[in-house]
Amino acid sequence: MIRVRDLDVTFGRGRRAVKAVQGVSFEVAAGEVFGIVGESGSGKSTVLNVLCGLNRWWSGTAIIDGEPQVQQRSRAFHKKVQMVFQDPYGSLHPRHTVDRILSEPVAIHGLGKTETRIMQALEEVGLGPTFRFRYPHQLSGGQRQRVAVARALILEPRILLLDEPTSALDVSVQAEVLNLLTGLQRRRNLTYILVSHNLAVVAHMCRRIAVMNRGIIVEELGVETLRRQAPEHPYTRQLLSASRGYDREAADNIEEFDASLS
Amino acid sequence: METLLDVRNLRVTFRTQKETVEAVRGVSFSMGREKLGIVGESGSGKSVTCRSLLGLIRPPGRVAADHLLFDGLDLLQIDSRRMQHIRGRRIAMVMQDPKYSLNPVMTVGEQIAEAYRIHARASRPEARRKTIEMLEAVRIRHPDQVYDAYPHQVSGGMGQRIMIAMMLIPGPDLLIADEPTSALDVTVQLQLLAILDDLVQERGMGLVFISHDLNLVASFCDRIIIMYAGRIMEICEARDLHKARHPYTRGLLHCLPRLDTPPGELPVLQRDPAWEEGTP
Repeated sequence: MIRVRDLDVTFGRGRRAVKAVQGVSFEVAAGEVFGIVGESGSGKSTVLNVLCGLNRWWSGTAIIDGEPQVQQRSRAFHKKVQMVFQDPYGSLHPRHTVDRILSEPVAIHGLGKTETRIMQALEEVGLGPTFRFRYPHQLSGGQRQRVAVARALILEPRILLLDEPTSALDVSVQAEVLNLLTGLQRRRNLTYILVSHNLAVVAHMCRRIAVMNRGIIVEELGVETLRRQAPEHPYTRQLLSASRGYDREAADNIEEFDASLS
Repeated sequence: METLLDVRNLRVTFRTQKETVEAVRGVSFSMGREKLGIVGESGSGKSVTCRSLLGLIRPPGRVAADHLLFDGLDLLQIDSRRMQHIRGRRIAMVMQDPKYSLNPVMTVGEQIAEAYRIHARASRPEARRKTIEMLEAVRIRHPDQVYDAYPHQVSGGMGQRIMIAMMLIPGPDLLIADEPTSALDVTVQLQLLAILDDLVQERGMGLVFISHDLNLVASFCDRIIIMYAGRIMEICEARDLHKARHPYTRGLLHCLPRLDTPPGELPVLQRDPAWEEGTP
C-alpha cells in the first residue's frame, strides 16, 4: 500500500543544511498498522508530513497505492490519505462549529449528502448528534480528538496517518481514543501509520515498528520482539529501559547515539 | 520523620459571573523531607493545590484552609512581605515548560545570578561564581558557555536543568516541581530525575512532584497522593501502588497500554459520581 525508498529530507541549504531524514525506507501492506517511534528531532513526524504532502523538500521514492508520488498532490490523493494531528486544541478551527469543520472537506471534494455523512461520521467516533453544533471550546480534549478523527474519516480515506494522536490526552481518554482507532481500523480495513514517542502505545497498536534516531531508521522490528524486550539495536534497548520508569542506575548509563557512527 | 508541611482542609474556589468552580475541595496531607508525588488527570486540582501553597492563586480565586503549616508557620496568616521571604527562598517551584518560565531577552546565567543576588544580597562576581557552581551541580557540561547563552539557544532538557539550578540556588527546604519532565524525551527525563533525586538527598529537601504519569511517580517518589475532582482519593506508599485499593487508582493503572500484556480492547475508566462527593 505504501512503499518508501531512500527518503531524504533536508531543511536549509549549504553549511546550515539540516538533514532531518536520511535514507529512510519501509513498506506498509494494505490493512496494516505500522508504527514509527523515536524521540523529538528523530524525523518521525517529518516522514509523515512527506507522505501526506505537507512537506515538499524531499527526494527519494514514495509509492502510495501503486502511484509514485510527486511533490504536488492531487485532490484525489487527499481523499485517499488523511492525517490526524497531535494537538486537538490546535488542529480544530476555534470559530467553526463541529458541523462546519466536518462539512468543509465534504464540500471541497464535492461528495454531496453532507447531512447524512456528518451524522454518520459523528456516530462512528462515538459522539452523538448533540455535538454537531458545538464549538471546539465546548468539548473536552478527548471529544476534540474524536472530531479530528471524524474529519479525517468523513472522506472515507483508505490510509490514516496518525501523528501522536493521544499524547496530549489523559491516560483514561487515551485508552478510549486508542480503542476507537483500533475499532475503526478493523471495521473499515484501514491502513495506519502511527507515529509516537510512547513505546507502549505503539506496541499496543502495531504489528511492525520502525525505530528512528536522528533521521535514520536504526531498527525495524516486530511487536513480539519489543514485547519480549529483546530489540537488537542498543538505542532501542535504551529507549525501552528509559520508558520503564525511574531507575537511578539506568539514568547513569544513558548514552548519546550519533546515527552517523552506527 | 519531622513534619515540613502540614495541609489541613484546603479549599480553593474560583467564582466567575456564571458559576463557582471548586478546584480543590478539602485536601489534607502532611509531608517531611521526602519525595511526595501528586498524581491526577487534568483538572484534578493537583497544580492548584501546590500553587496555593506559594500564594500564587490570584482573584477571583480564593484559598481557604484550617491551616497550611510550613515549618511551623501558617502560610495563610502571614502578610505578603513575609510571604516573599518564603517564596523562592524556602519554597521553590519548577514549572512544566522552561520556554515560558525563562526570560527570553536575558542570558540564563544573568537570570540565575539575579535570583541569587536578590536572595543572598551577594556581589556580582560572587553571584557569577555561585551560578556556575550551580550549573555544574545540575550537570551542565560547559557552564561558562551556558552562562552566556539565551534561553532559545538551549534544548528543552537543558532549559529544565537551568530552571532547577535557579530554584535551588537559594537553598530552599521544599521544592515543588509541576510536571517538570512531561515535555521531555524519556531518556532526558530519566537524567533530569536523577539530578533531582541526588539534590534532594544531598540537601535534605522535601520534594513535591506533580505528574500525570502514575508509573513514573511510583518509580521515583516515596509516597503518592492520587487526586480526582479536587479531592484526595488515596495516599499510598509508592512501592505499594500495585496494591492500591481505590477504584479510580486501579482504573488509571489498568487503562494504560503495556508491553507485557497482549493487545486488545483497553479497559476504559468508569467514573463513579461518588468519587466527586468524596465517599469511597
